[in-house]
Amino acid sequence: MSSPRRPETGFTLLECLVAVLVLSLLATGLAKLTVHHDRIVADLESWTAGDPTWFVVQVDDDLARLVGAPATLSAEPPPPLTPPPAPGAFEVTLTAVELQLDPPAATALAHLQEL
Amino acid sequence: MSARRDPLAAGRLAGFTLLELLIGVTVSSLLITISMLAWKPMSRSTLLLRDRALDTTELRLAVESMLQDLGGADTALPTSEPDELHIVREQAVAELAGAWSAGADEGILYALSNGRLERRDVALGTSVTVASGLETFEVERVAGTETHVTLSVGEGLGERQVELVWPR
Repeated sequence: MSSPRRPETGFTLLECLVAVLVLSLLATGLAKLTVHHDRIVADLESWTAGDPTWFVVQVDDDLARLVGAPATLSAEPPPPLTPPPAPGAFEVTLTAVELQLDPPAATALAHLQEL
Repeated sequence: MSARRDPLAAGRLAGFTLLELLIGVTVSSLLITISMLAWKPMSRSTLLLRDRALDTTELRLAVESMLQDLGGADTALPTSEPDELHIVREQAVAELAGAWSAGADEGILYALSNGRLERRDVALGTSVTVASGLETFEVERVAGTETHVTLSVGEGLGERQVELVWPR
């Protein structure tokens, strides 16, 4: 005499495969995220690699410095800033001035004489 | 005679057997142990990444702040205090900033205090912390023609150091 069959409970193979697939996708996503994070940090700190020495370079433009242009970093020593022209070193004489309205333009012919 | 029915025979009891439970608990324990073993290095690696990013950011903030001031600077020299940088602006820059008085600019002081880099504008009377977590901030005048500023963050393998040279 046989006993009646118990109802079968548990996961099917398909359910197990889907669960494993989802978990694998999650783990892969996490691993990729970590790798990308590592790469971003490496890019971020690339300028400090090898304990470097940086030269501070000012912008060679008086007006730009006046309005707050920051200095930049350079691996090479910068050239000296262009010295401003000595005041009164030249006598300037305008010999001809030409104005034009369309398009607006102005042209001047100047004569420089060193003092 | 009793009329009680056998629940097993009726097929209504559908729980786990003791053996199934024991196997389930054993497998779960193994999975949890493996997960914990993998979690420890992962979390350490994540924390290390976070620290590296934070250190580099603080270092960059400190350097960018100094570059901003050095952009319109006339001189950048160490002071009599240890590891303190004194930046004096060009006259036109100081005048525009309202920091020119009595024919001079009192300048800006950078100094490290408890790992925090403080920027103090002496002329304007302002003070701000530009970066934190710095290990060193050294200022040195070399050969009378260059000012070297060394900044570092982090410790051990995570240490980062840069040297800035003001070539005037």
